[in-house]
Amino acid sequence: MTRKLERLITGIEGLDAILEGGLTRNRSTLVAGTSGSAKTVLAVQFLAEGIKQFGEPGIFVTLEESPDDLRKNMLGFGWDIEKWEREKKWAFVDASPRGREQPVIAGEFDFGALIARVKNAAASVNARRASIDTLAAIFLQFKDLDIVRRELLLLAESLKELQITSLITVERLQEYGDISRFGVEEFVTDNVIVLRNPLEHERRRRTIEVLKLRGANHNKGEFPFCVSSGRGIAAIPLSAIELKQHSSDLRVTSGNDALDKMCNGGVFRDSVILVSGATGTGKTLLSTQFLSGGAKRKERCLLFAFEESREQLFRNSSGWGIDFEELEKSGLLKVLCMYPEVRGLEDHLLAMRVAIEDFKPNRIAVDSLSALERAGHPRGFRELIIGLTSYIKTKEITGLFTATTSTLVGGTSITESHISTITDTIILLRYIEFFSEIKRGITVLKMRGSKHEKEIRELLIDQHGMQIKAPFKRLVGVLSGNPQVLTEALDGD
Amino acid sequence: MKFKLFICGDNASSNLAVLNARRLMNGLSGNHHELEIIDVLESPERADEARILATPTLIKEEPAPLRMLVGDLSDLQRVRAVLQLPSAKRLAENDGGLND
Repeated sequence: MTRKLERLITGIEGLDAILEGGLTRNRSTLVAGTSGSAKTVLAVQFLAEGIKQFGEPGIFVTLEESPDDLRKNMLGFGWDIEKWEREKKWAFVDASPRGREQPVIAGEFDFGALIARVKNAAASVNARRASIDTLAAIFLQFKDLDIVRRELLLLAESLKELQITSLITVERLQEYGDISRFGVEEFVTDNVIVLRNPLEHERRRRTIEVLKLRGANHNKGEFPFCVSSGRGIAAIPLSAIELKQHSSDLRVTSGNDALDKMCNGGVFRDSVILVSGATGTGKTLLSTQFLSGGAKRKERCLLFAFEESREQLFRNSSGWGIDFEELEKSGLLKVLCMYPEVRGLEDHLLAMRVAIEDFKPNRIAVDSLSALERAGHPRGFRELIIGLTSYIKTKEITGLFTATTSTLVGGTSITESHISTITDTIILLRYIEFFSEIKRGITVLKMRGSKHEKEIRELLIDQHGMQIKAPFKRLVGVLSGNPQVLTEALDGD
Repeated sequence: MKFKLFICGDNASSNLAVLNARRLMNGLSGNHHELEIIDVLESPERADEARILATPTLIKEEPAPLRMLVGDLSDLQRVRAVLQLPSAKRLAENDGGLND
């Protein structure tokens, strides 16, 4: 029988999902990273989130920067350490060597003073969390690796006895290779987290990896994270995200009355709609109507356009009787055009999340996902969709994504097969050859949690936008790409 | 001269450091010397003030410059070199040395 280890929710966005439920309680975790990898930010944020979200006081053992520098530097993240110190929620143990020479070692020693100070500080605020930043300073001052290691083990043991969960930062000299600079630090703690900041394709890409979580499960591999002012570190757990968001029964308009009818009264508010079709079948029009339909009802709408320029989009929309320019002026619409290739998929996801956070939309459209798919490998793409989908669902945003099929008639898009299980509603737009004439068809293939019409209806595009007409009768094989008209039945009519 | 010696309770290295520090004091010429012994287990806030981590730590506060020695002070040569005290030979004549 194994007993499950109790966890401590860090409160750092995304990290708890990667840890599958937080750090193991009362244990020490080593945070290894090169210089500039945001170790100190993580160490401070660990205490800050504990105080803000859980009322768990903390102590910060600083071995490098002075408390004053930390107080000042962390204000930009919105963390008012001084206030927390006054409220007895935060205590420093200041062991920064500023302004003095290194001590000379003359005989046997221990870290009795450090441990006594940690215990004293912990008692003064009733600490549940501790951060120690950074061990590199200790190793540089006290060069005897064996003694330092022995004493750090004692320190970790003391923290455990005090029932404190801790982060201890160490420096790495390179992004890959030895975990820590002095080669012994990782043996001091139960858990190891690695922060990386490598240069890839001329771009810095921050990642966080849980290397070891003794006695507990965690997600493996590197996950991207970003550091932003006012918020600190936010990791993107991508594949670690569980799709467990509640969904509402509230329906909103798709932007087209006839399509709303096909969907039994509109689409669900926090659902994601995938629109799949070949080029020219009306995907961009559908997303344009989706946005203007929302804006008409005073919803805030955000468009991520990866295929067309602003000029093209605005011209198209005015051709369908929708004035994007006016909508943008009213503040209800924001159009963001991005080139898929200019950055990696994680950065796209980050940029989209930041834009969503800034604009706080009620609905967003992505036109098209297929263009974005070209900017990375399939796994990363799937992760981006999961990340984006779960993110907008937690924010109760209605999402519409378009995907381009590679063949003109019938067929499915690669995008679609990758993500169809993630989306709630799938709408197909198809070219249909009908008595030597090409027509467009629309059908609702799937709608999670709702009845919907099963017929394929004819779709017309004119200066008023999209007109959905009567269902095609006696037509089979549209989805497979080989539509056939049942002439016998027609004859008998 | 003015010294502070931080120790951690009743452990071997702390005891040895007290012994060595006292002998060192005895070996100094003149009588305006001060040695304060601080137990960090009893007064952790004194360790906070001095920002120290390790015990035993001997701090020479006066005359300036401030000097810090970490350890049980059994490394005699280093202790004297850091504190800029008279050579080992002269001390040995006076006292029989810091180390038995």
